[in-house]
This record gives sequence, C-alpha cells and structure tokens, in this order.
Amino acid sequence: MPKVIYVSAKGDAREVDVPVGTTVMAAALKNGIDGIVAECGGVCMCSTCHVFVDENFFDRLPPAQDTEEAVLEIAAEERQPTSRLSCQIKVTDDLDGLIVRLPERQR
Amino acid sequence: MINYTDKIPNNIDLGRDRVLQRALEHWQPAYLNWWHDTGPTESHAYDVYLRTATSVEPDGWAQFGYVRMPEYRWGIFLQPRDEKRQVNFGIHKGDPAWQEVPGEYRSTLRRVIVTQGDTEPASVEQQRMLGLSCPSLYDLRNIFQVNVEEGRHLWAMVYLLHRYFGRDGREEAEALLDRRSGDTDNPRILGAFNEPTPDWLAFFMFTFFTDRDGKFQLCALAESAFDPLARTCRFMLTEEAHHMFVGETGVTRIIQRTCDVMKENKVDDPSDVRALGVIDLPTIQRYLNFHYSVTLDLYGSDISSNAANYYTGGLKGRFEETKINDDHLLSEATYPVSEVVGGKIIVKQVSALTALNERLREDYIREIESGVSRWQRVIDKAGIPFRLTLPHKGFHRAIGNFAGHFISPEGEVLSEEAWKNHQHEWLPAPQDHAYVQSLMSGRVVELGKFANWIAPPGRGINNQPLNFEYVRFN
Repeated sequence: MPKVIYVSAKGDAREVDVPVGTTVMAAALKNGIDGIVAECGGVCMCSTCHVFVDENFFDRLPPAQDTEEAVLEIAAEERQPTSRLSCQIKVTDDLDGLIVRLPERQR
Repeated sequence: MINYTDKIPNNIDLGRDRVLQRALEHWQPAYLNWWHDTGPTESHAYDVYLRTATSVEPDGWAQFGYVRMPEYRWGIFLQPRDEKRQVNFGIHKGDPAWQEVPGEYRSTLRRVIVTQGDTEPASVEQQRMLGLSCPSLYDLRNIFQVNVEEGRHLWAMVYLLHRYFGRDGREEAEALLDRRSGDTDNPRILGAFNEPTPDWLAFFMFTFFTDRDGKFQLCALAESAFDPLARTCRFMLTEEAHHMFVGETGVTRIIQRTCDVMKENKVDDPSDVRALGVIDLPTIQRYLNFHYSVTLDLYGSDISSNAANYYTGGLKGRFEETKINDDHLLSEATYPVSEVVGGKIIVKQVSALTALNERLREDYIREIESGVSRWQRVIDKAGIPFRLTLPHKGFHRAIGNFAGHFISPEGEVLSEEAWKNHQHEWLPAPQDHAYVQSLMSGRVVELGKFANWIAPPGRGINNQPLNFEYVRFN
C-alpha cells in the first residue's frame, strides 16, 4: 500500500499507509492528522486542506483543475508554486512516498 | 446515499416513519409558498446551474446541473451516525451521545434550534431583490446557490423540530415561515437578519462576515450531545464553505477592480475613483466596519449564564471542542472579557463558563483577520498605500459590554456627540449607499460579461468557463 508522509508546519513527520484511490485529505482525516481541516467535506469549495507538495512529487500529480486553482486563491497561508488541495490528490502506486507539508494555518 | 425517490429527499429512512413523513409533506407546500413569495424575485422560471447534494460521503456529495429553483430537491441530510460517539463536554461528559431529547433540555434545545433555523430563511428574504442588479451570470448563479442552500438549512432545522419536539416543534416550524426579515410586527429573531442587504457589496460582505458567524454557530452546535443536531450541523457546514467563498472572492474582486482602475488612471482621491465607476476603498472600509460590527453582536452578551448552561448541559460546545486540551468542564477556568469602566476599556477575568459567547466571538475574529489580510494583499500588490483594518471589537456594538458606549474604530471611548460627529467617516452614509446602488441599477447578463465595478473571477464554477450560461432566463 502506498505511503504518504505528512510534515507539520513545525517539521514533525508522520507516515500513513493510504489505499490507492483515497485522497490525501481523506487519509489525513481518517488518521487524525492535525492541520487538515477539510471544512467543505472534500468537494473543492474551501481551502482548508491546503498542502505544499514536495517538489519531487509535484510533477507526478495531474494538473489542478480550474476550480481548485480558484479555491487556492483564498488559502489562509498564501499559495506557493507547489500548493495543492489535498482533497484533489488521489493516491496512486506511483505516488508511494508522497511528501506533503502542511501550512501553519488553514483558516 | 440519499433517497431521491421520496417526495422529500433524505438519508434518514423517512419512509419508515409515516407520521413524520406526513407532517413534513404537510409543511412542504407552505415552504414552497414561502419560497414563491419571498425567494429570489422573478427567478422562478430560470434554469440555474446549481449543485445538489447527492450523498453525504466525503469523496463527492454534490452534482451540478440546471434546475428551476422551485423544483430544487430540498431535503434532509445528516452525516452518518457514529455509534460510539460520546458527549465530549459538560456534566454529561463520557455518556453516550443522545439520540432523543432529554426532557430537562427540551425547551432549551428547541430555542437553540429555532434561533439557528430562523437565520436561514431570513437571509433569503434579505437578498431577494439582488438578482435584478447582478454583475454577471456567474454571480447570479452564486447568489441563487447560496439561497437554495439556506433554504435547505431551514429544512434541516425543521426536520429536527418535527421529529423531536412534537406539536411545539411543528408550531415553531410554521412560525419560521411566518416571520419576515425587517418586518416591524413579526421580525426575524436576530438583529443582523433584519438589516437590509441592499446591494452586492453588502451581499458579499454579508456572506463573508455573517455567514461565517453561521459557520461558527454550526461548529459549536456540531459538538452537541444531541446527536441528530450535531450530525445535521456537520453536513450544513460543508455547504456553508461555498457561501464564504462567494463572499470572500466577491469582495476580493471588487477591491481588485478598484485597484486596477486607480493604477490605470493614476487616481487616489475617492471622488476621482467614483467618477470612474468603481467603489473607492474608504467606502469598502465603511461597509466592512458595518458588517463586522453587527455580526459581532450575533454572538450575544460577553457574560452569559445561558451560554454557561448550554455548555454545562452539553447542548452547545466550543469551536473545535474536541481539539481543546482541558477538562471540558470549565468549572474552575477563567477567561478575559473587556468592559468599559470610567471611560476606559479594561480587561477582567471572569468564569470561562459564562464567557463562552466571547470566546466564540474571538475564535471568529481570528478567522476574519486572516480573510481581511488576504484582501489587503490585493491592495499591497497594486502598490496602493491604503490599509483595510478591522475596527476595535467595541465599535458600533448594540449587544454586550460595549452596548451603550461610543467606541471609535481604534478603540477609544468617546462621548456620544464626538462619536456621531465621525459616524459617517466610519459607517456607510446614505450617500455611500446611494452611490453603490447607482452602480447597480441594472443587471449584467451577457455571456462572459462583468459589471465595471467588479473584476471577473479567476475561474468559473465546477470547471466551467467564465462565459458559460450559468443561468438561462427562458
């Protein structure tokens, strides 16, 4: 099963096994990762599951659709070049070892 | 999954409770009459590109498609039940969450639900004329989405009243359709929901500031020991997120347009800015001051025995209660509260239980500060030396420790006369409203066009282009 590594704003890392097809957001909620809020329930309507994707993995992700791009504009912590909404990242075998860094604040 | 074959869509197995089903089917025509009379004006034949809840699962609960709003599938959706959920605070902490209403809390819970429920139709009534002055089809679609979901939130509260509160609940459900925003004889319960929403700047401010109050109230109720209320509010929160997106991005786009015009034309005097047909930044600041201050009142008195009783009884928790590391009883804890003494604002420590309204208000303020800082980024990026600021929390307050005092936006305690001398520097004056409304004298509905006073959004809804036909007028 692929692993996803969540790194808190303070630098603490936590590794989680995530079934293929699960979103990075849903896996975070299921495993009690602090720092992912997911206020809208995962339908790309808020920005409270914002993550910074490690550069080594960013290009492996399908590009963000327009709705995600729009919602990233209201992220509490200003978006960076590797910003994504974790509700829009579905885990695949190719993403095994994916590292996402969490912003200091989501609201 | 949600059952769409029933007359009332639901995920609560409504068909197995015939009495409840009949009661709600009896209420449904009255609701539709209310929507017809007080919902968005002239909109009933429009086909609107709306999202409709189809599931409560986190991997996608909504589908998009054209809907005539009177035919929108308003229904009853609760988050799935967690069989192991416990009461997380108050004197019942550790007990299983309640699936029925305990007799001792019946009237209090009913009042809490009615107060929340009353805000939902109120905002639809407040916004009903705005479709006639929309700045684009994109924005028209967004306000309609907000309206139908506020209608669904009313359904959510009415379900609880019908299911758990018997005849009293049914009477309260009818009264929710009888009160009217701004009506002198039968107004809505809370003050901010009787204020007019006369223009689109007010609408965007309302959805940013006042819908966010709704979010914090729902978050507190989502912690409730009364499990059906908690599960109802959890799902409502997912819908509320879009409303705040509409508000925040709406104000952002107005600021963006103003900054663009100021830079292009090298003007900064508000009268010069107005001459170019956009909303000057000081007017935006005054609207901000108004909506922020009236929304702060919605949290109630700074010191409240009702709030303490709600918490101790397990009815209403704190924002993110389960993430707070304390005893969740608060019997010994204190909390700082401001008050005006001898012409000065002082801070005193009071029982944390009685200060729960103030605590929730401060949680809200922190989130608001974050949003305002994002608006400021737009101004800063344009290189315009103007700062949007949140006024002091005592400014223009009608409820709580600051009521009856005259506090400047900077937090200075003034005489009534001194405050009134500056009132129109701080709050929208009649001429501000007149100017803003003069910009919005008609609607802009050509595909892909936007009114002069607002920038287009970066992207459309549900990955559709900006020139998509979000509303068909038929």
